[in-house]
Amino acid sequence: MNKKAVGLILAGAVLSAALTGCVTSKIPAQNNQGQPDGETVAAASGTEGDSAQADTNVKRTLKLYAHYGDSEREILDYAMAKVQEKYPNVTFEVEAHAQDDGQTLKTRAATGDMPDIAHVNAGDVEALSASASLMDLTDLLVETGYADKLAESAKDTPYYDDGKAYIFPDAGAQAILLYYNKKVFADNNIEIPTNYEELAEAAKQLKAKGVIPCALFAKEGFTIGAFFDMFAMKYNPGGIKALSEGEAHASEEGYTKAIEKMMALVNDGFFQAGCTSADYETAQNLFTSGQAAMFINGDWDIASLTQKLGGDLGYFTSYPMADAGMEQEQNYYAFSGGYTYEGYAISSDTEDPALVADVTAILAEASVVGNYLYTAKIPTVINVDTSALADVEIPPLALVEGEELKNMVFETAWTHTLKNVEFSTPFVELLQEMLTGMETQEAIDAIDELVDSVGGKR
Amino acid sequence: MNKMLADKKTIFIFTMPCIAFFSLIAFYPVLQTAVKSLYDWDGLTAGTFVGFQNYGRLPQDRVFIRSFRNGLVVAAVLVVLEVVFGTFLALVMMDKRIRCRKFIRSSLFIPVVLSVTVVCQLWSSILNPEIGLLNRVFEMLGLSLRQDWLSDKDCAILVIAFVNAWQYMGYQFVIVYSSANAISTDYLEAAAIDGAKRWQVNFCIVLPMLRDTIRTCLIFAVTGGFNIYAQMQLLTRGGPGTATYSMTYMTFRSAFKLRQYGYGCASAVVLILQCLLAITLINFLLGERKEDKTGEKKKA
Repeated sequence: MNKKAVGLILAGAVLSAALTGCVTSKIPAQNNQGQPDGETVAAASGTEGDSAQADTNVKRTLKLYAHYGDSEREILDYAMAKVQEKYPNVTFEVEAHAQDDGQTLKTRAATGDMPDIAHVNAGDVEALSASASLMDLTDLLVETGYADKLAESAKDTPYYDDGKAYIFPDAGAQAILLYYNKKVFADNNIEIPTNYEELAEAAKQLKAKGVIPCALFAKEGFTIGAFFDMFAMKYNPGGIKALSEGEAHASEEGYTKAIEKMMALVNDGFFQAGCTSADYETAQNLFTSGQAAMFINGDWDIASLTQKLGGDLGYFTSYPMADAGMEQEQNYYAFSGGYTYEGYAISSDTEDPALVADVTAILAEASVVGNYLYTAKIPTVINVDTSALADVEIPPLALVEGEELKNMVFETAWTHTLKNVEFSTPFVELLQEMLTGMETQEAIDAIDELVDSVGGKR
Repeated sequence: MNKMLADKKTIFIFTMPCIAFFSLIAFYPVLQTAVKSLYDWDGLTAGTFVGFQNYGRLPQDRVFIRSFRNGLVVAAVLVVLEVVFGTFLALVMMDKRIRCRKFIRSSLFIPVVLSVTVVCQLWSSILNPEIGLLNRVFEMLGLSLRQDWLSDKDCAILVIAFVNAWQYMGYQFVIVYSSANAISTDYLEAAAIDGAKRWQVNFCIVLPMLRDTIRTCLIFAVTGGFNIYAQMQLLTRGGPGTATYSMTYMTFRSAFKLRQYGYGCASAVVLILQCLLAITLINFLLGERKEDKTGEKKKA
């Protein structure tokens, strides 16, 4: 056999293997409307009415893909224990949720290896629902009784844009807060600001006294997104969401004013040096050690911050970014955050969907309760009688915030839950660049260009 | 044995399993990536064939240009700090008059065995602009060199390249050092008898004899620079903005953040071609020159 023949055989073998691989990629079966095929639908619909009769002695090991880091371990363990109270022979193979923008889940869906139950967010659902990898839970929500448990304000949370329910929601409303350390302000004889002018002045005074005005962990995109929204929402409560949907432009008067104010603060050193590479621990440490006067993070951090600062911890009940004298008029209760499309979803390939749905409903409910018990997060997504639960020391600030949540208006969205990733990804990158120094007009032009690139309407 | 080696069928039969296995684990994924780069594909649903459209988008993408440029910058820094400096250190360490040679050799290799996560965590603390060791030292010395090391758009990529070089310089050093030690002492002694000085021995005998080793080191450093990812992910997540994006990071962004797998595959193919081109170029420049029949030098 000459060299040419050997080469041809090898090339042929490699090429045929490649082509075979192309046509046998494991993509869940679907019809031409992108819906699950008959068999999948039958498997799902065949469970209707079965959940109430589900055999509680059934033996099953379920693959569970959920957040299981140090801070979430107790909550998930509690939730799994609750499942086993009803289903003693159901066990879990827990796989810790990776912080990888859904890469693991999407890869597993593509290879037909979806876990039975997975904790997902809007970004995951956007991709997984299109490939019919998730079960439509519209009927199962009712059958498991979870729909009845949802709080009035959260009735729509399980439903995605296509009208189908893909999750048993467990997140509830979460607000991004601008925390402050009362002691730092008092020690430096600075009043707590109530509007932008006072905030800018306070920041200058703090800087002059060697205190960082605000600690930020901008390595995480949602914190900078929230900071941008704190200004933008004073003029347009839609904030980033309106930009991402092409409904607004940065060159509009309100946004321009917001960006000018934001950039003025940033250029005056509002944040600590190196904030774009700072992680949560670093930023929180600057705040709790008194080196920074303010801190941006979600309300889930109240318990942890209270442990470290006690009564010195406070948060602004309205972001102090409004113009002086216009505090009430400029969307006083507009907050960044809100309900996120987040919860437990079920693989469309799982066996015995009725059982798995019932288990998932218990998991989701117990997660909400677990969050209350272990992180003092007041339940908002489902109705929970907290008086019937074990005594939990809820920080007074969390109770205040729990009440305030009812007044808060959430018309914008978290950057990581924006559905238009072609906008949100470069937008967060742009915000980071803005924090490291950029001309205001350059920032406005760049945002406008981005809005136009996603079909912004002028 | 010679008879067997002369039989091409035998050679084919014995090498086929290995070639087939290698094709499966190396060529097949590359081919798949190349095929998928011709599709508008989200990684889950069936893609749409778009020809070379994804490749056409690349030169107009600012993130691609920045990532490409960053790859070149990192590769250049790694060549200087890992190969040039590593080789220099190896030549210095060959001098038996140097004290504590064993200790220095081991110390240089310690970062190599550390996990990249540990190294990045360490440097993240050292480089922290508020509480980091480096800025504190500058402050103590009264030097106005304080920097926002990882948040400076221009400086961050150089810092990341430095962290990578700090970790892997010892690896290149060991390769060069062990090859240099394998050179027959006859050459060195002969040069010494002829009165050659230390630097002359290094430049005229040791370095030319290390050409193959240095070629390998260069390939590692250059392709390592183009492929860099972990340090970006751990130190800056590609930020600020896209200032520290590499081609690998861009591929990840396209595939998993923008859900444009086809486009991500196109950038991955460009990265593969970039690496192959660099390897070919290095081999061409530093390849063995064989005397052909006419006595002219020919590049291997």
